[in-house]
Amino acid sequence: MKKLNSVAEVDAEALAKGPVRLAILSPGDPSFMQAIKAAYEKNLITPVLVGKKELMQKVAAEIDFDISAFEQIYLENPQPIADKGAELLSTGEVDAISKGQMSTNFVYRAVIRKMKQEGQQQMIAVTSFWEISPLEDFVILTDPGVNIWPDRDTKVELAKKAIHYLGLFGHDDPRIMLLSARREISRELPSHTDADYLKKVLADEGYSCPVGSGNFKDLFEAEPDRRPNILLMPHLVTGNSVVKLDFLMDVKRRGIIMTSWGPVLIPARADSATHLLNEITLAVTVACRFKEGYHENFC
Amino acid sequence: MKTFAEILEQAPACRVLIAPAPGSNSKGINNSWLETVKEDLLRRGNEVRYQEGSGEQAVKDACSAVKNGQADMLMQGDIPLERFYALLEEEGILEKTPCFASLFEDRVRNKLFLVADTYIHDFPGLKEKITFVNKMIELAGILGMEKPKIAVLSAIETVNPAIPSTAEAAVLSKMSQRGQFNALVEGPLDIDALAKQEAARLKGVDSPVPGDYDAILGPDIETAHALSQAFTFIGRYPTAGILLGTHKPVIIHPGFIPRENKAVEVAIHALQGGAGIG
Repeated sequence: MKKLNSVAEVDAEALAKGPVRLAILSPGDPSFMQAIKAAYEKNLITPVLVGKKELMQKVAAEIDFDISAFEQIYLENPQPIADKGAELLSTGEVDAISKGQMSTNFVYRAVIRKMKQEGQQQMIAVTSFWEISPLEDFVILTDPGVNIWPDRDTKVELAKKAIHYLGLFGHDDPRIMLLSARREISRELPSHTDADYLKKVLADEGYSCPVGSGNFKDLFEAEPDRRPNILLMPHLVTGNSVVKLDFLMDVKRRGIIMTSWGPVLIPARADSATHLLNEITLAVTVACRFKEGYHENFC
Repeated sequence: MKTFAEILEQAPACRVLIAPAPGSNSKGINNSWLETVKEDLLRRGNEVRYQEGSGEQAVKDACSAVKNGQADMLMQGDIPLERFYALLEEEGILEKTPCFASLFEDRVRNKLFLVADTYIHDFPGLKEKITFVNKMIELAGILGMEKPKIAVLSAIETVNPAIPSTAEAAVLSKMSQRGQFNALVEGPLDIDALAKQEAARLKGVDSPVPGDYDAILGPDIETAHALSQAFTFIGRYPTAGILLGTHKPVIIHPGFIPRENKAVEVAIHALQGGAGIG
């Protein structure tokens, strides 16, 4: 599998391999619909719109976007809309789904329920593709969105998901750093002490990779070939605060939930149309690579 | 004050006591660095000397010297920080709830801002956070910020009992509304609502704090420490660090604070006039 090293390379592949079928769950905002329109015009996606008929048509008309040729599934309430999205993804009728204007919880619930129906035991987590401008390579950051206070076994599962996700971009050399506030006067935080446990369990399960704790200073001071490419967050509040630093700094963020059926996008409410388009672009590359035979790792 | 340069310009000269002197620590920290700091402070008109003696006894003697007015402030010398900090506790230099503020020069917004607590407490509760807010207000006042805007960070902008920092932030915000702080405290705010007024409005937060914060109160050490490092290493903001909640001014050297702005740290304490901040 070709190795992708940057957001630019991910975007280029999406443009070359698209379109994919993307179900949008409750499109109800002009800025959001603008991103859908842009993605369609770039031939990245074939939209499937799921939500309130009047709302999606009104919003599309507002931005002069003709949606008459797209499949439209009319449902009124958020949970049935999210459930429909999970069904479309799990049956392969679409390649990816994206949350529109609804609470993230509905989408999480729908995906988890569908996984349980299929007998899948794994948890869900957000894995974010993160590119920091002074560094040459991207990192995978997890979990900024689902697991509030992961224990060490949950961190093992998060690490495995991140390793597989990294593999999807052609990288088979994971180097895991547990982001930790370990410091001179407090050296035993779980974010540090969990590292040895993760290293052992991952090794026992056949994942042989460097695992340690560290901080952003360590990340920046590491030699490029030893620099961590997976950042495991200590808990959700840290993850959520760190992952969205693009609002303050020169960082590129593309978040996704990987399921055994394909990617789920959960854009933040404050994300701009440009950011939404970027996330859709990532989802196209991920969905295409996923279909090319890499899906077994996510089952 | 909007820049580190302004802090340096406005601060009076002061007497700094460094303990212990270079060469005291058998593990050997970078002594040439301490010499550089000393020379820089001298060049700026300060009185700087090393405490006589060596090791932990030198720190104890220096604590006494600062307490009885023989020096204006104490600076960590050639000793590991964990030992130095323990000695500060033993010698009664620390108040009950100290905290550490990272100070940044924001060249985009053309202002200074603080993040706390970025070093001392692992998982502070509401009681500690109230103390931190008051200490941040005092530091902000020294920097010329009247009624500072303090953003209380969490993962979301609504209260969720599963995330205690959201509830603590809401309490602090309500206390501010009721006039319990000489500051405008707003929270909970997630990082996007904190960063941008527009993002906050999208989330139904109508407040002058988003986008114009003077200070950020972190939810816990993992987040505040990471955020501080992100501003330094990713955002490349000029950074200094201030220990708050001491009976006498003390300057420490945590590894995550770059060392090039030690003169700024000294100057801030000098502006306070020899008393500990907070």
